[in-house]
Amino acid sequence: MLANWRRLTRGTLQAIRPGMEAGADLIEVAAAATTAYRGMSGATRASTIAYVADMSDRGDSEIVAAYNTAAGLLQSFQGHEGQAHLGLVRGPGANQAWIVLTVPTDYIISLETEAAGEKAFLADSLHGQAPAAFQALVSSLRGAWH
Amino acid sequence: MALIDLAALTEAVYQRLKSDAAGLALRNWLPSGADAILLAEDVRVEGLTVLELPERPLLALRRGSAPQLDRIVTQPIYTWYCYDDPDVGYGRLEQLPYLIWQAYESGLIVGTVGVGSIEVAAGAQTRDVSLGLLQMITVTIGAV
Repeated sequence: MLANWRRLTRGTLQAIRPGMEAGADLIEVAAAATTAYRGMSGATRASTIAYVADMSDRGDSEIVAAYNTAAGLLQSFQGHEGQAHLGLVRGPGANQAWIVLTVPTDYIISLETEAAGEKAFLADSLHGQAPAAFQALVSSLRGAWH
Repeated sequence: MALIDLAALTEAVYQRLKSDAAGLALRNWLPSGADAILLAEDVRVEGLTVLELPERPLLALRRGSAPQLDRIVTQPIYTWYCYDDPDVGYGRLEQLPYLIWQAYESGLIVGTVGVGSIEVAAGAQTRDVSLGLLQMITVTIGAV
């Protein structure tokens, strides 16, 4: 019975993965299109990334690519002292999958929280697109089981 | 399911701390009382400077996104940004989530729509460099 349960949860995760990736795309597009901040170097907007992480693939290649984008844009930028910052997500546990939305810089937390969230956009994008992302996930599951 | 009157809901979330009886314990606890309960735009660059802000601790409300589900705007997210002076430390800020939770415990009714699932969560202790104040973020979610 336990083996059957494991097969079911593994199968469900595989079935919803395309939907989660579609949902991550929706979230990333919304976050990158935000007008909450203007930006100086272009690094935040260009390296804003949403991706799916699970036990077998925690999305390291996606976040490293985004980090390289930010690092390239900030390398010779003189307008502020912010730098690219590579924060790898430890990864979800068994039978779990996450959509991660982030920006690989050392000033994203300030951008998200300072002056009562004046330039915040990550939480808003995630929350705002959550219903559409969930619908994408459900569609993916339905498609797999029909 | 009814459409939320977003303006009315935002006003209700704000007034719950600013003037409602349910927020009295919080206002009594704040040195500046209702004057320390602000909107987010009040603490921004175009608003008051830090010197002009009321005696801390103070709170500022910001409405985040209100996503749509089945053509109905639902689950708007409200965030209270809480501030205190660096020389005071985080001790007073730590007391705010419970006081905020108490104020919302009885729920909210906006028009004919009952707002359920009001949750209060505390973010990490942090520092708002642009304001020069200590900061803690509490999140209040109103699900309809």
